[in-house]
Amino acid sequence: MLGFFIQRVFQAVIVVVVMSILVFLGVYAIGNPIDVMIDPAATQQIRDTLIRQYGFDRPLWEQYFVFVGNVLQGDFGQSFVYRVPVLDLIFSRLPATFELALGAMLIASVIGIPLGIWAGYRPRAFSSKAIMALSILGFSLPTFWVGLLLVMTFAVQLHWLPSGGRGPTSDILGIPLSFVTPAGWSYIILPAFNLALFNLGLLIRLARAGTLEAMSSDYVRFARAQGLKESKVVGLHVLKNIAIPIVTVFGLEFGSTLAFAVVTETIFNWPGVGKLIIDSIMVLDRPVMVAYLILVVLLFVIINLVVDLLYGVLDPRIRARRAA
Amino acid sequence: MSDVVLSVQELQTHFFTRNGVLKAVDGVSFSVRKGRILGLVGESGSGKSVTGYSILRLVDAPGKIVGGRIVLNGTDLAALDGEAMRRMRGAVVSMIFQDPMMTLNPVLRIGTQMVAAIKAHDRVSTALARERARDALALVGIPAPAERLDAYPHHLSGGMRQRVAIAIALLHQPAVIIADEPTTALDVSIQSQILAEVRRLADQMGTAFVWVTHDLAVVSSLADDVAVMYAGRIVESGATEAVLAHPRHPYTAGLMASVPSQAERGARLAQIGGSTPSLGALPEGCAFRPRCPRATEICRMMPPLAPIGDTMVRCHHPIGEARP
Repeated sequence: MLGFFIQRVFQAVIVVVVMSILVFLGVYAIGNPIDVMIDPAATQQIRDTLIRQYGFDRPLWEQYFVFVGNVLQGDFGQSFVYRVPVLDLIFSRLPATFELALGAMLIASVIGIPLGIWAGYRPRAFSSKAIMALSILGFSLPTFWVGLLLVMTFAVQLHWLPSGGRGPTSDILGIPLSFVTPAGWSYIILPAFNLALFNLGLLIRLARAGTLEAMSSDYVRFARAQGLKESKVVGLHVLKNIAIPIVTVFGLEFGSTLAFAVVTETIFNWPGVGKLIIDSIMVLDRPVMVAYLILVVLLFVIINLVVDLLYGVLDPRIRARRAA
Repeated sequence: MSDVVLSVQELQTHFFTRNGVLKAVDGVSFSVRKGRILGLVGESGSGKSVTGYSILRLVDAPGKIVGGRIVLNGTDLAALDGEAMRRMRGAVVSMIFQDPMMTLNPVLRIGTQMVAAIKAHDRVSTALARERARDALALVGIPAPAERLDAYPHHLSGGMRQRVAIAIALLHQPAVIIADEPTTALDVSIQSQILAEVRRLADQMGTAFVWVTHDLAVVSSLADDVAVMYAGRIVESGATEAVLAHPRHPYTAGLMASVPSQAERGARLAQIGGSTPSLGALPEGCAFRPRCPRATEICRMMPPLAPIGDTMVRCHHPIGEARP
């Protein structure tokens, strides 16, 4: 197990290094941030001074190594726009996004997994077909459009919920969170639901496919032959078997929900990282973009590692193979 | 004959498919006495497995029991509602399956699966259920049964797994166990061990077995009685020695002749000409007629199952009678 762990960490480091190069090159290709940063009327002399000050006159590889050297000391640089360390900036926005993504994944699993299991358990029932139609809508309707519809319906027409923003937050362990107060709830529920729709559709289909397969297996037949109640057959035998694909997708989707909640955050004016990165791209705030993308890579690598370790917990056969 | 535990009368299980109704089991009757083993023999597609599943009412759609009675200790299983039938499964009638690799849930510990099977019928504590599970494993000859409870199925060999499956089937000391080719997937030495174990359990505990198989060697060493099935009907039945020593039905005789041990070394094995008819296109009258060397015009009418000596035979021209 330890060998497996070390091997995975080693792989993760390589992935992060390769990604950091790609990210750096990609962002460099976007253009010269100096043009955006300073007054177009500034003299050539001021331009040259600034370019030298930020090191943009150096060769690309040198800039990269300077950047890596700083990163290893925990310094991702300063935002051109906000004039504060990038890491502080991102971490100040992270709780909002984290809370939103977690809320979305919870909604998606709590609704999606039971619906999917039902659709797999009774594939011919009308209710199952309705569930499958819902799942297709879930991941084919564009997020921004559903988001606008939600705002129109629940905020503009019905006045039940606020149309955007984060509303009041309460600090828990120094982290500002919305879900603690009812008022906070009213702000998070719409964007979280909007963000959940895609994963809801995905989890329904995944749970259904797994359940369909398990229901026709010999061990389910054998469990029935032992007189187990249907609730036990599904809750014990089927659920444990469909857990692996669901955990995989849950992990990966949690990562991408966290990293790419951009559209939902923009529509609902949610002050999260997604909104920050969009704003930074608009003004070519290079340090923020680079730091954000590298943090996303790190995030995915860590989530993948956790999912891999969870496999071992869920499936004893995988544990045995790793020990060997 | 008061010790008859299971009596199947005129059982009919049909499959309602797009291409018409397939009469997989069409009027099968037999009975099994306490502690006796009935071998239900036939080729693939003869309806022997469907007969077994029908007794537990575990036939999957589009299959359906459309007629007949399944009387078990005085109760007609065919007339029970779903919940009442569930109470019978595992408690009064149990089943073991062909492939021991598939019948145990790969991601649940042996103990977990056995405890679930015990709790399906008895309200006992988990600790007590585990003790009973351990005793059941010991009963079927599994060494170190207490440790096996914490093992996963993949830790055990095929033979051990089938013993576990038998132990699970025996947990509530059912009156009858249906065994669907449970030794087919095992090698011959393991097979003979399991057969000896089953014989011992039948004698000691008085459990009756319906042993579904295509293997005449298994039947001759294990079964007290035998019923030979062809195309959804029983064509010959009686005490094993009587039927195997003097097969009356041409199909039984053909099966016997094709057993390799009966042939001379180097000689070509005997075989029955033609192949099993498709259930969708059965010939009128005796289904074996097109392959039968003794067939005549009268065979266009279905022969009744009639006594000849000690056995019951469904044939107009049974072997041992002069050909017309």
